[in-house]
Amino acid sequence: MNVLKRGALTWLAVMSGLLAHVAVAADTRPEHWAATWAQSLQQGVRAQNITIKDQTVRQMLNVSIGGTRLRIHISNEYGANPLNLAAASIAIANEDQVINPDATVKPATVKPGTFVKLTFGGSAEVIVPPGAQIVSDPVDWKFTALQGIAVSLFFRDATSLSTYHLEDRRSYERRGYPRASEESLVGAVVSTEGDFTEAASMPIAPTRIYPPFLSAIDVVAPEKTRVVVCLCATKSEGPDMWPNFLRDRISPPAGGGIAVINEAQSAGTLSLYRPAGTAITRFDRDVLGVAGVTDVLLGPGLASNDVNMPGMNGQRAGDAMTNGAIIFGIRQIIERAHAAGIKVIGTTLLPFEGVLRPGYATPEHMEKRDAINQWIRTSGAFDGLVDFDAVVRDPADPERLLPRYDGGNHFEASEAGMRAMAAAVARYLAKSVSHSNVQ
Amino acid sequence: MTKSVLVVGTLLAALVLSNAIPALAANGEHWAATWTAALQGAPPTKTTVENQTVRQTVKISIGGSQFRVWLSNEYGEKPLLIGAATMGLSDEQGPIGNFARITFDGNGKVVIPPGVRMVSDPISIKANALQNLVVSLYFPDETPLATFHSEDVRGSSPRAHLASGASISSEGNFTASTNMPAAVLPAKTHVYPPFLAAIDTMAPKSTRVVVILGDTKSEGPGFWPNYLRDRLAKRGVAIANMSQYAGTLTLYQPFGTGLTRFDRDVLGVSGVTDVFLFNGSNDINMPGMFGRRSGDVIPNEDIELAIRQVVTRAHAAGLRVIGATLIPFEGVLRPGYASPDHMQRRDELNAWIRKTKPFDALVDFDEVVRDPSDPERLLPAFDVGNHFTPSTGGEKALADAIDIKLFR
Repeated sequence: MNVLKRGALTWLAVMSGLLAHVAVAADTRPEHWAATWAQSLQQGVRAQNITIKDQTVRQMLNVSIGGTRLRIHISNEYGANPLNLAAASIAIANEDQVINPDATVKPATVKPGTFVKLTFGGSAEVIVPPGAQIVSDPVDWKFTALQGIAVSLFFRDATSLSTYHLEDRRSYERRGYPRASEESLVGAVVSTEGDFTEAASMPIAPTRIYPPFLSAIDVVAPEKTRVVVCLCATKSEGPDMWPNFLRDRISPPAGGGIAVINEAQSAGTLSLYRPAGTAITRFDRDVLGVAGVTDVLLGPGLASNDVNMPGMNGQRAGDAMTNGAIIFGIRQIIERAHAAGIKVIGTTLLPFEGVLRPGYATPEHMEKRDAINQWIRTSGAFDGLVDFDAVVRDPADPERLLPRYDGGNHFEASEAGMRAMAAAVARYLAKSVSHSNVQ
Repeated sequence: MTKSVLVVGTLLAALVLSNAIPALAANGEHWAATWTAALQGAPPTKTTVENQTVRQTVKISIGGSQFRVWLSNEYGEKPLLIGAATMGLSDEQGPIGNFARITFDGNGKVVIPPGVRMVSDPISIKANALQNLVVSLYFPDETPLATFHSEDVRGSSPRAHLASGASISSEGNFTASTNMPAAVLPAKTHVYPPFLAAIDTMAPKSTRVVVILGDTKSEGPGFWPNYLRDRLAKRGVAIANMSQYAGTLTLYQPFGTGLTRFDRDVLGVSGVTDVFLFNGSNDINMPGMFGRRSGDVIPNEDIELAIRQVVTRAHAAGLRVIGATLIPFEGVLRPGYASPDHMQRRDELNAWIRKTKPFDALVDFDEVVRDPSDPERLLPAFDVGNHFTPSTGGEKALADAIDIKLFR
């Protein structure tokens, strides 16, 4: 796929032989960009029917790998109207501001003097057409791996926050964060009236929002940088989930400098229909569209939700999927990744016996999980495998999570379980050959 | 015996424990697109089939002996049931038999969920470069042809008669029949080819796959991408034409723009290595037309930003971008099209392209087909007659202006 890197010499040789009406840009070897952060955007589920005007949205996040040159992606994918972004900035977040268990508003403060304005084609303002995303101009700005960053977006006009990343707030509560309320800081906050894109602290409106529009942050990185996209579901969405622990381990230079990109969707499915899309419908955008992607890790929750969700969350029980259909979906993902030269890491599905929700942990569902896991382990369809099931199940009762790895609801791992899962992925990545999409 | 079983068992266990399952050995080949179509769902077609076969003939670019097809239900509201599908060879007279079944995970039947496109199992067929392939799809249930490739079949279009379209059978599954009885359709019905998004073939990993991201001026038979395909196919370079009739780069269209369809129509193309951008003309000329408000004018700065976005996104995926200047249109009769303002904006955009060199390589289409003594017009010999579409000679000149060395 990567013809740009096939050797500058050949390229120059080609160029010198061109006909008169073919001109060539002076710099034919662009800098290499790698994603360092992303979130999967959606619409439809718990639709965000919130309109803001003359207000600033600030999203707090931790990047994966560090660097000295960065750009952001702004998406209006689900907007019905052009999105007019009037100003945008990034800044270094104050340490305790990013997903802080004790944070009750006021926060979203940043280190003064660390602001840098973002521009789009040289302009501070940009109109993002409906359905499109726009990448900002690159900006020189130094940040470290795992850096806490605040991205501030100012909207002068009335703006519907219709393209957003759905956060599973239940998981915050389960994990001991303050009960979801208007006072708790989650991923993003919105200011009272005004442009606060260059204000260290900003007055926060009581409106609770899901983080809108920001879809990715890229950094200039060495060409060999490995970018692992976690294409995942609920069990990976949000803070203190295994992708974050994985990022903390392997993104710093000492850990390998590997970018971990979490494209998880709450209640995401592999191919079971849902209005917000499935792993298959969002594959082009959430995998192929990630700068510098080299690997996709197919998270355990997607196929798990295909097994467990029919009959739940408004799904009709009649929508049940056979294992053949679920495995077919996995194969489709593998084919599409391979068509783009991307390696696919499979993961086994976690046990869920004991889940109280009616219809979830049925003997039939448990049997289906076992059969899918058997296929994942033995089919040879993946480029690599991380056996999450083997990591977190109770050896004495393999349909259940090991008690200390049980988050309490019997289908999500505890923090210790999440850390054990992250360690298993890190071990796999350390062992597998570093590859890029250069074939 | 016992011992060797144990050894094998240990090896298997070691494989599982190391969490590493080796993929099939790379043999120097991979899937590369040899034909594609940009699909859309708007404006909706009224054509619906039931217990009928829909047949489409396409000319591939590079040849091979293993193929697979991509079928899309992207704009369908309901699951799409395909009861049977085949691929066969076709010559100028029509299908010549040798139908191979298209299967999905071994099944001849497939249900494609709304919003999804699916890739078939590999199909063993030997086909040369530039071979016509015929793809037949049988729909047992009532099926609106909701996801389709739009073709320029307006009466005023100089090449409307070349549009390939699709044919619909009378009742029955004719996926394995050379002769397919035609359905009785209302007069002048043109069936936009539905559901078929792409055909891949197994090709050397070094194969270049060039996606054309264009508009009306690149869509359909008789336009320059097909002449380029004919030149390059025997050299093993694949052309994947993702141009859209009435397509734009960033001016809103209900069926998407170059920017909105980039992920699917560029990054989603198997083995893509290059993007050829010849687009932006409609962004200048279309506001105020086709029911648009004149107030929808897209300034050149926005078109330039969109061009840079395409380059940025292509580079992020390691693709090379070849771009072209916009060709002249003075003399077009449609009111508001060839206004002095539009002509000036084309000149300015071309000047910006030549000066800032946003692409990895530029092919100066304007220079190829304009009249040197009247540079706002097509050279008379290269003008099909409507003053904005090149003649066959002009289209060939555009294709010939592209240096084959670019694709080595």
